Amino acid sequence: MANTDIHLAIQFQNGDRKAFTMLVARYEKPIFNTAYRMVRNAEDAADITQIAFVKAFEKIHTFNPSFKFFNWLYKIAVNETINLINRRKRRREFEYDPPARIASPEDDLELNEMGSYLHKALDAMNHEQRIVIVLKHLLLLPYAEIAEILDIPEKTVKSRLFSARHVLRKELIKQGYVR
Amino acid sequence: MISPKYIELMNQELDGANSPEQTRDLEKYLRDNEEAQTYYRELAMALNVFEEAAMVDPPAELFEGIVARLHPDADFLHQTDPARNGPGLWAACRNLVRFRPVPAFALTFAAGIACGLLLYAGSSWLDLRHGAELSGQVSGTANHRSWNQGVVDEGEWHLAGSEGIYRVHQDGRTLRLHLEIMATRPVVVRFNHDAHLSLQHFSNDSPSPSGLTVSDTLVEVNHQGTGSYDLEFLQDAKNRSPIMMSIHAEGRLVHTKSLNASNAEQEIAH
Repeated sequence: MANTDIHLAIQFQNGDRKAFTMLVARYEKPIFNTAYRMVRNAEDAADITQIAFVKAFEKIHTFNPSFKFFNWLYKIAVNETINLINRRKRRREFEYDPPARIASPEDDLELNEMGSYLHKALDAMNHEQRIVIVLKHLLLLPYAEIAEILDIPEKTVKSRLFSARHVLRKELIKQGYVR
Repeated sequence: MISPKYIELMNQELDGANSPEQTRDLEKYLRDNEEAQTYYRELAMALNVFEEAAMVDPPAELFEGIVARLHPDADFLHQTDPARNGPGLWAACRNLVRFRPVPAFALTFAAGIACGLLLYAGSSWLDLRHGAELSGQVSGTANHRSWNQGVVDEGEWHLAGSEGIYRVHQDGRTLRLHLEIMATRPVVVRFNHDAHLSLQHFSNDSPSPSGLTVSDTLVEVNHQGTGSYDLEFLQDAKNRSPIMMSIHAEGRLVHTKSLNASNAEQEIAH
């Protein structure tokens, strides 16, 4: 049987645990990168990646093979990422809680200028814009799949994407990276 | 003021989602509206920056961490035949983890450091870019800390009506850009740079260069046919921006690429 995502997911549903490890190897990097671009902290991104795979592992029986496996998996990862961002936001609302951890230089996996310009531009976006632009331009997903992952209409994907691009352009101009 | 309708069409054009009619409509609008042309060019460049910032590698221990959480015994990962192969490396490592947690931690840490060094060394020689229309090999860039001499960026493009190669060579503060173009239709190749780079020398081996524009922050070549160009820039100590190369055909921006330029301050620091 070919090692497509669906075949591996079915094999795993049938009890082959090695199949799931192959899926982890296949999607560890894109999931980590999606989370990293969203939360801009390597440690948190690694945690989100772990939790996403563990949840997928536990819920594999709910996966419907007529859909794409990676869309299902990204949906779990995106939800985890948004949960973490919301938790951070809520935490900041309570005085007694320590402030959100500021990313240290070790957290920044990108030493190149382009990466740091990009992080600053992503900081200027709200998380709805950020996730759409990451799914579109990092994972190169079409509008329809982004809509499926985020559970929003394609029209909303487009409008969030276009406004995210507008912010990106404005920020990169402000930083002198685009002229 | 750019009409929202055309901002939407510009975005769709960049996604290849416009119908031929919408593309024609947009092209006409861009021809007549300089502000919109600038907006479109800046938008394309910004997206290029996004896609050029390739995926980062996850921490080396992440995969093992996930697998360990999923399957604490992890036997199936490296199944060995004890009768033929003995207990195997995986089993030996597992035994270390089981009975001697401190050495196992040290082993993991050392393995992480070794992987990091290997990745660092490897990345100095080859950096494969993600999803770019232009393919290129990048070596010795500023972020790899080994860029003093030699080729710091090179690549090629293949578009309908034009193709070419480019190479950026660095010699200390001097950046030499070599460009070869074969174009069946007129193309404009534009190099935008900041004021910390200054053009020192320009030469071409082109049968019919129809135009050259040079300003403090721009070099623009109009080209048709087959030819080559050599540009030499001198960068001052404050230069931190790449040169943005953009290719235009029939009044349309068809591609952008940021060329790696290095930083003289870093050269001194490293």
